Amino acid sequence: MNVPAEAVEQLRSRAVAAADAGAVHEARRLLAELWQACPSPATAQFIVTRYQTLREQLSLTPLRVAIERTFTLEPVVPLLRAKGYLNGLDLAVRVGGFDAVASELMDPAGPLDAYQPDVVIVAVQTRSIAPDLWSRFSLLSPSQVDEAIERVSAQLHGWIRSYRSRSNAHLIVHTLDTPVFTSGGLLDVTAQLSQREAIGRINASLREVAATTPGVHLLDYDGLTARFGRLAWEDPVRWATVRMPLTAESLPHLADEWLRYLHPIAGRVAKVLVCDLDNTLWGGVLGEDGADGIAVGGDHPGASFQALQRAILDLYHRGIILAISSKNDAAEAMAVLADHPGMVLRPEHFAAVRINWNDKATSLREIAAELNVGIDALAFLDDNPHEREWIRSQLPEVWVVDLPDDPAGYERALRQQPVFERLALTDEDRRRGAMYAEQRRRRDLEQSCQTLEDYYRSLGLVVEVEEAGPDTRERAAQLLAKTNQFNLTGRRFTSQELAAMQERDDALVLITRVRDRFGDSGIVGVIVVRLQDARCHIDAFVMSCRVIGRTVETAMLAALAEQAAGRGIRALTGVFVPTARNAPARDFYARHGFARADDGVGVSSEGSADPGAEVWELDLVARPIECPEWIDLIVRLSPTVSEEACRC
Amino acid sequence: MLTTLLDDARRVVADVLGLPAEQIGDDASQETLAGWDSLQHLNIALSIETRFGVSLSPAEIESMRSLRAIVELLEAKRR
Repeated sequence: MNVPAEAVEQLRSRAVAAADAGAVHEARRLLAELWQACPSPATAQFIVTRYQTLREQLSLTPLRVAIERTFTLEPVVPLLRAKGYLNGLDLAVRVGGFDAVASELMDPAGPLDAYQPDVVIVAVQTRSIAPDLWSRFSLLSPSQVDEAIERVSAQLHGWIRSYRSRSNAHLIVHTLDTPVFTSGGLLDVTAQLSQREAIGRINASLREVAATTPGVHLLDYDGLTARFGRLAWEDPVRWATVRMPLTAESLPHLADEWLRYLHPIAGRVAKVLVCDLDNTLWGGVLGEDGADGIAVGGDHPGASFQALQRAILDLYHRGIILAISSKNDAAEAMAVLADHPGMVLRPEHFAAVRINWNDKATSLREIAAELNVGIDALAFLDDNPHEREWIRSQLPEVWVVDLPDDPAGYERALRQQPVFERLALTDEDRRRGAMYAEQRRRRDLEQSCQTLEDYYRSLGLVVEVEEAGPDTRERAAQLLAKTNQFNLTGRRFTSQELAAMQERDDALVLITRVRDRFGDSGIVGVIVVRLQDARCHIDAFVMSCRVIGRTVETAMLAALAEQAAGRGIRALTGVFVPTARNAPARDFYARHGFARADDGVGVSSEGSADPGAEVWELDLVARPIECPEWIDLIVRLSPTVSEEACRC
Repeated sequence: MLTTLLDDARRVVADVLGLPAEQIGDDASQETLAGWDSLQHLNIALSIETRFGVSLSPAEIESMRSLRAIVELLEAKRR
């Protein structure tokens, strides 16, 4: 081992002293260093023991993990728990009976159900559950191989479905492994149905089950072992003696792989990656080497930095928001980002930028505030160990990415971070990085404009209002449910309720799409109104915080007024129900010429008195609503709902 | 602070068993320590492998039933 015994001993005693003195974050840091120096079951047990006192003072996420297995992996458990503690997870772990996978997953009255896990890891091996495919493959006829594939697949599916029918716990299922040397030797590569292919078909069937069963995740075991080298991973003698096919060296890697799943399951993830620039995104120091002297792209050493940037871009497309914290000249650095031919990441990828000479803890706090996320949502990427140390000491909630000394290892280090893992991705997630970045460019533009009107004019806003249809009603219901800030009435409707109202023809459900020169924000507004007695009652009026501050609400109201007037309606009535969070909507009616109509006595839109609610009214004839001149308003309404329904 | 092979091995045994090192006497063995069962024996062997960068055969693992035996084994492997 490369760390001398004395150094390890010193780390231990410093960690103990820090823990005893109540310096929890210092203790955590030293224990993490100790773990790096010697990731053995003994070290793990030591860390787990220390955490029995530390855990109370740290905000750890608890998670109950059950492991169903066909091999000895008790020694991995302390490793998993120790690394979990260091990563902010408090893992309770139960290991199922040896080779009891089937009975425990199938038995509703068994010990697995009694344990009530949040997560079940199904650690199976081919040699145990498909022994004929593993060790007798060359003796099998093609039909026997097919039969074995069918049988083992059905068995695995049965276990998964049986357990899923009783529990919502996440399942992490190891895919079946292939022997290091397959039975056919070279012939296996070209064989019609090789051993690798046969095992691969079982795995393909598992992928189908995972795709159609919520909460089932696959762990690519061959991929994991390939990453570290099969020959170094496996120990056949240990399998033959203690039924553990792993070397001591591979144990921490297996624990790490499990943690990549446990982080997103526990919600212990980072939403924002804050990147340094000099010697992180590019090689060299811009202030000294100049834009022509820095290394990014091309061959060594620039290739390593470009590889890191590609990994960061992958995270961006996974919905991770990107930010910059760099001690540099802002104009010079932004010019490199915009123009350097080797850069993969460009200004439009970053949602918040702090390029200044401030200390980085201040910059990170500002970035969190600007993006409206908690400090614990940040991850920090910096080549400088002193900056990393500074952030660890000042902002212990931040996930600090440890980088190796050699930039060639940066990309891999980043890709291994479990806090960027996601187990599912929505379209919304995929667009998140872009939307936050567009928002920054709007803020920049706003600051460069002399007046607000100039800013609005330069945005090139297009607002489209249309009646909600079968394709958009779900999104409308989601907006009504999720919008807390710009929400006048606080009323929620499900998509079924909206559809029923639209059927009746006395209601209008309008959705609003917004785009500008920086990007398309999608559907961001919903209005629900009832039309009665030549009046239009606003039941719900919400607008996503994504577009607050761009006068979109006025355009929405103008579209509504136009619609109402077209139907012979002369007055708009609306309620405002104040909540703890809807201050941004508070002056909406007053700003648009509505007058209070309840003499200060709140009456809800249903007519029942609601203390605190305000009723507002607008005479459409006397006070028409004009769309702001800087907005291109497009209203696409079908005259009646029924016609819309006919088209579908 | 210089540590000896004996101290290092003692530390491994103590950590695996969750005991302070002072409770692991020079004569400690599977017979004197109740917690030193077959599973902890495996943990001790794996920890020795990681800690000292050696790999142990089944016979070697079988032989290290006491603190002294572990130290003797490590000394033999170093030669």
